[in-house]
Amino acid sequence: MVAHLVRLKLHLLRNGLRRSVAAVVGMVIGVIYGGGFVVLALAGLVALRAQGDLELPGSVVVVTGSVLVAGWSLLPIILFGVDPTLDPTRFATFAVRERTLAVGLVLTALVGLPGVATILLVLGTVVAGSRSVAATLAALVGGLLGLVTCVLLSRIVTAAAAAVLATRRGRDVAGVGGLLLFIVAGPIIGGLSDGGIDRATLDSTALVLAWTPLGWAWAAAGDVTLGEWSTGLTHLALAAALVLVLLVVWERLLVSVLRNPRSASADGGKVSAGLGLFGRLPATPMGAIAARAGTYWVRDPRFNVPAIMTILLPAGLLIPGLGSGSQLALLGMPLASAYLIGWGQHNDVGYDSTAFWLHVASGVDGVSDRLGRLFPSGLMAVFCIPVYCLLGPLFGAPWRMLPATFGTAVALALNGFAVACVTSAVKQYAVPAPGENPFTSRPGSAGVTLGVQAVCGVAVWTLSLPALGLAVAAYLGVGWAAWAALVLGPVLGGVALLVGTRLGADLFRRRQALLLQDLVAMR
Amino acid sequence: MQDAPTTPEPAAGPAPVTTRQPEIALGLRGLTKRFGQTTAVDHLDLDVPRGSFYGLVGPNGAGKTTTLSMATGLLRPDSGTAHVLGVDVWDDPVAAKSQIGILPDGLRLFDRLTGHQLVTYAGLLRGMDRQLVAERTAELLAALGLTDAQDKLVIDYSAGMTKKITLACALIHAPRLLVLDEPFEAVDPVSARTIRGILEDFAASGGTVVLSSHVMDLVERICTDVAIIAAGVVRASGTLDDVRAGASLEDRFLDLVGGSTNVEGLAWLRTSSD
Repeated sequence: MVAHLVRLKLHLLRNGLRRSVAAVVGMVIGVIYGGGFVVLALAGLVALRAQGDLELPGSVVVVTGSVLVAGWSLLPIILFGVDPTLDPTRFATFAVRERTLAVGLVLTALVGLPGVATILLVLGTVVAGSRSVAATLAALVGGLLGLVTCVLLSRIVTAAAAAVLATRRGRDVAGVGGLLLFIVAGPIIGGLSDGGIDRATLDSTALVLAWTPLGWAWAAAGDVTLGEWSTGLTHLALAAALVLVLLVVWERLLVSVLRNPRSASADGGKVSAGLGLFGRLPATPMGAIAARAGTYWVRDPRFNVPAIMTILLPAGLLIPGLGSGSQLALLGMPLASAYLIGWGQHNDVGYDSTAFWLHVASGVDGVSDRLGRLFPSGLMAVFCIPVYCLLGPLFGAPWRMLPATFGTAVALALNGFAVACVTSAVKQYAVPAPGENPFTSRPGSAGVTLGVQAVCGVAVWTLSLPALGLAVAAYLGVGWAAWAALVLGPVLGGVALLVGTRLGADLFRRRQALLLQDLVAMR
Repeated sequence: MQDAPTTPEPAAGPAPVTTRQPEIALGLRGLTKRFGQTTAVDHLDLDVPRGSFYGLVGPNGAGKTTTLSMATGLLRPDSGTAHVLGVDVWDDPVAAKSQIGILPDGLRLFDRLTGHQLVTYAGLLRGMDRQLVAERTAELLAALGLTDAQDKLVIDYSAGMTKKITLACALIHAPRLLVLDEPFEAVDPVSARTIRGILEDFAASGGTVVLSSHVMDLVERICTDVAIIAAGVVRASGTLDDVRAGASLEDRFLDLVGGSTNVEGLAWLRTSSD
């Protein structure tokens, strides 16, 4: 039976390749890219065996192994949907013994490029650890346990994730979680590749990892090499125990999946009862539109993912700001934040998709529609601009620039809203439909998208020129300019928003049916 | 399914008519719409008498949806006019739209809202006050059997439930004219009966219903008047009996619309043929 499953996986792989040229190309690229990486890593591991330092191989193997385990358990979530072959639920209708299936599915996970690469890397760690017969034995047993841990964890995570992701709400949450992970992982990887890792960091990291479930299996060989038999055996015992626990969990999970195939999706997401924002904001068309927009910003990954990015991205300027002491970067944070928030609003009607008909059918007035939509962004601006304005001086930018940055940031946000009021009544471009992945792009719409975005960007910066000019003057040392920016920025921004709203409302009144026709056409 | 007791009289039916109303609820004159080379609706004239239950039938692509969209202010016609209870839809859209309730076909809803929120949203967009919206929303949800699902997201609703929640959105402001595009498509018999009961009550109390459908039997059963549309033109219109002219609606429809109904070939489909 186990052999059947492995053969099935091989068939699936081969047929997948036969189906399209793209799959073959993808496979070849995977082999070259991943293969190159594996060969490099293997060479490194073998080289470790050749050099004299006894402690170094242990540390490297522990870190490498821990990364492997973490990768096997995290990648399926981040790249979820890549490989649903041999999903346990598909076997629910077959009469296969659950134990057999559990073992078979674990083994099939090793068939395929990631599996082969991992096996090669494990072999590499065995070579690296082969200082003595005992150490080789420990490395072999540890490597095997580590390998099984990888696969079991990945199986458990995918099965559990599949259960969670089967509900739509779960998918939304996972999407945001994955993004956050990327945002967090970025700086870590950047930091590692930037300064390299010195020996002390490596050793201490390895020491910590060796006592976490990630590193147990990989630490034994190094311990034995250094003569620490009891530590090595403890590590092996812990690793073996982990494998046993994971096996039990995996089998339980499999049994529950097989016996209640539909249990996961049955709970059809009741949201909290009541009206939410609709009960709290004013009972006017504008209040209702604000409540709708706010609700969507929380619930719809097409809004909340970019919103999180918009909030966090300007903080990236802290890296040059602190790293190389760039004052401009620190002063730029509130401006970047304000621009992203204001400008980001320019395609709001596009996100409604054809649901926009409800506004058209209701005869909503333009001012309500224009201003109501700004509510979530406005709220974001109210929090982000002051925070980023204060962060700059707190991390070393001159305090005398505070009025200038605040005034200019407010101007940028208000001008962004003003431009959005007009453009989102004139021309909208295609965006992912509700329920689609927020990162998909619509084929054939790149030209319009770039055009509208560029026009909006230029308009926002142009409108903000007076405030920006004063801010530059203040930076160059003109004392009164900072205070002038503080006054002039918000005032001119306010005027722009007023004009933008009037103009946008008028356009909305005349063009709403055409806008809807546009939205229907790009569906 | 009992219709009468569960129907929310104040929410669904318009208030008893006291002032004199024009006799034509929906008047279309020379309505035309082109999409590129194709003419979807071609100088279409239609009069829907007030208080009627008007069925619009036609083959796929006949221009039913386009016509209804232009009549309700969702799609701007290339030429021609649409009057709702005497108000020009494209001259005074706000006044006209306040009289119309729409159930469109093939357009999305704000489906990340709960059913309760969506109907409330529709009411508030119409400028109604909170108290009234809350009362009518509760009544509508109860009448349509959606009270249990009111806190679920609309995206999790079945097709029938989605039609019903859209109908609730169309009814919340007590319109005088209901324009429904394929209201019974993909709706189970129980929900269909509920919807029908509400619509019949609405028409009985002086409201006007215009609906489009493919299902001739259904139109024949519930409509008082019908129009047959093909290739963007009205081929026949009037009371149901006038249009039927003694035959069944389906036969008349096939006569007017044309198209072969004789099945030729496919002999191998007959089980006796091998």
